[in-house]
Amino acid sequence: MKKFIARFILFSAIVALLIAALSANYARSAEGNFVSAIRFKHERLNSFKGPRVIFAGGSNVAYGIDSREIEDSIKLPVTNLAIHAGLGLDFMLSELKHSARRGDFIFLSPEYYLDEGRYKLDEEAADSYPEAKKYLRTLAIKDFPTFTDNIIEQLKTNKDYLFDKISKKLFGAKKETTIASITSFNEYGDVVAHLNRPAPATIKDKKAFVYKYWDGIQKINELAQYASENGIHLYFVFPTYSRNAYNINKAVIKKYQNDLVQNLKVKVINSPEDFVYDDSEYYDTVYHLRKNAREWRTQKLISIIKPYTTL
Amino acid sequence: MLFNSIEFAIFLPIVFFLYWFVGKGNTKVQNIIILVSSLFFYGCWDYRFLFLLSFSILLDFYSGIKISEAATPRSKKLWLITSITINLGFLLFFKYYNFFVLSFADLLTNFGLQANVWTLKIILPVGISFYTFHGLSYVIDIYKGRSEPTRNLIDYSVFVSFFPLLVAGPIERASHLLPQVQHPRHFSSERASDGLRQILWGLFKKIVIADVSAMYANEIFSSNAHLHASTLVLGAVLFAFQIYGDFSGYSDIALGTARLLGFELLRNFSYPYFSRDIAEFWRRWHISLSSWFKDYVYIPLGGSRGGKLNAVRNTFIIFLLSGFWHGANWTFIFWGGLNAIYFLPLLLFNRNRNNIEIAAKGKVLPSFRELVAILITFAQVTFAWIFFRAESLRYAFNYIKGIFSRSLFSTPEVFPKTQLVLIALFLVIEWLGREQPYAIAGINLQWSRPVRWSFYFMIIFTIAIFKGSPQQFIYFQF
Repeated sequence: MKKFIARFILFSAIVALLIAALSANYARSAEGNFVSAIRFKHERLNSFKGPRVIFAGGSNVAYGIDSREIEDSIKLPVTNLAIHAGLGLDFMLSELKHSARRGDFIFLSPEYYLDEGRYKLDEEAADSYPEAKKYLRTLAIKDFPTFTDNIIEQLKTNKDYLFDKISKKLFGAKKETTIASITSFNEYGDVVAHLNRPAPATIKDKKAFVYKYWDGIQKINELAQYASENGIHLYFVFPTYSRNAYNINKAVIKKYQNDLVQNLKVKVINSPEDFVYDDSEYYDTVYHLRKNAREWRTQKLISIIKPYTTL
Repeated sequence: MLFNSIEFAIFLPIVFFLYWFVGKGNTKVQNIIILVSSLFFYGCWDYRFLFLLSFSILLDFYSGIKISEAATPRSKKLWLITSITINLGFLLFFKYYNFFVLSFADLLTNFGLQANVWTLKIILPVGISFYTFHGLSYVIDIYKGRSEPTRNLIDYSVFVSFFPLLVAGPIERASHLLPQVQHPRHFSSERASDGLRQILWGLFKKIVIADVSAMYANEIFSSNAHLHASTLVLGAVLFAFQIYGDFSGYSDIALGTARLLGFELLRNFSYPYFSRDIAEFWRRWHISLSSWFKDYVYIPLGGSRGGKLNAVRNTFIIFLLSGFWHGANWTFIFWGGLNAIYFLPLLLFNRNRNNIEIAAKGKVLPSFRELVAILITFAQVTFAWIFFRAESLRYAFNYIKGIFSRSLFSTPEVFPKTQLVLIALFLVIEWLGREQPYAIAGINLQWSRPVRWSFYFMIIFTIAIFKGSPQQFIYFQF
């Protein structure tokens, strides 16, 4: 028995050492990756004096609105702060708390049941924009899975980096087809790189939700409290969602909506059906709109938010 | 608490420590530790159903004693029928109530009658199909005089609720597991190492083969209307590997965990995708369920005695029941029926026991004939999986209609290269290890420790970098 346990501990120690060596962050996050867009978005936001309009959420907002058109229509400077749902609700809310000021209008549109996201992505954002270190969660023991996820993500990053290097050496550089870089955004913070590309054959993230009371409500209410004390106008907007995915989850979304309407201390200014479009109008996931639907959503969004942005 | 979760990674070492150090040399204490751990494990899924599990345990425990003590055959039978009725009653209520009600309403609607049906929001208790079958086999074996009842409630409770097999099998027999519960168990480092190795292999199957294949299979099955036929074929093949990796991976983890605690569970899989006909496939896939149906349904119905017609009838009955056991949906029943149809020619021409040994036994490569037979069987099985995976029969037929179109020879729109390479590597390892209880069991004897440890590390590394998003084990819903 002792021999078995000793061997097991020795093996585990060797594995831990090897994993630690292979998962070290040898190169800090590459400049110009998708989440590094956070820097120029904040530079834009900070360049305005007076009241500003901020769109926040995950990639459903990043991919799915035309901020220029909204700005022209409501005559207020617009910044699309949204990047990726993987940054998580805590990061987004903290980002808003640290960035918004008196008189600002925030339209928060998180994906359904948005959770804590991926800490690794938060760290990458903070690498590109040091101010974002303030938005990071303080990890506790209960976040142990986050530590392991971080290690695994870094392992994957190192593996991809190595494979890319080998592949470039053997086969030359490949044509870029992903929407994974800072160049995918326009100056307002909207993702535009996908607009003229053919969509992939299938759209991802189509899953059936299991109803639960969303813990994000409490988190948003905390921001709502701060907003009301500091003269910031905060509103909740339902995200866009593909028709097929919406139909699968209709009953759950109805309950989710009821919970929000009843418990959220900020105004919910639309309904989930407002931005549901046919699956063919989505790019690669159930949240990423293509050109036409992006325009329809923008038009509708303008009509929804206009009454709330009148000074 | 999933087998591939951090919670289980904490739970198992604690149980291991308590079991071998606190309960050292004392079988009674060890059994109590297993029982408490098993109830805790089950309670983590849904503590409300602990009552149901306990009731099922008590019912079969006392039924077993009463059957054995009954003075007349009539009262023996009465106790048996009581136990079977209550056990199946719970199973039917929790698993099939809504299915029967809705199917009946559909039937009435077809005759132009309007039915106001009363459905219930019933949560399916995890593992109910498995522990019900444990209990049934126990009381039936006692009734038939094949085994003696235990008079120790703790021993019996461990037999039914042993956590490695509680939620998704293998479906054990009292004659196999109960003596192991009753007799002293001694630690063996070889057996424990073997258990860890099998757990590692099970995790690889689940996390790399099943979960990643699931990501693509789900994507293809949910967008099937717009995809090329070649993509739909690929989706079905990926699902075939998803369900195999998922369920056999689970079984490997269960068997490995039990071995860490000194138990040997029944083998549930034996390289089914290397089968050369459908009869062989069913001797290698979910073995504990197939043999359960054979022993408790097929043989009591007369088996193959009484002529071909009886054998055909009984074969259809067990395949349809097996399909229905998987879930309350016509898709599962159709899947069972389709497998029975595959089986029929083999049965009629007495070829259902042609392939007993593993393919190409003692050789490195299969003959051309064997290879063709393996591929044809895999194609049959994969075709049937479409019904198993589909949400409805209409959906399955539409999917199949999509396969038989001109785009069958076009390039698939979804082509997960890395995953296909990993599946190919996995098949090579399984093929090389096919004469062992599980694919990597033999490396202990053949390889030196540094090489072996490097291999284990490679598996762990592969799991870490290629892992898919965690998916519930498919068989937990059954």
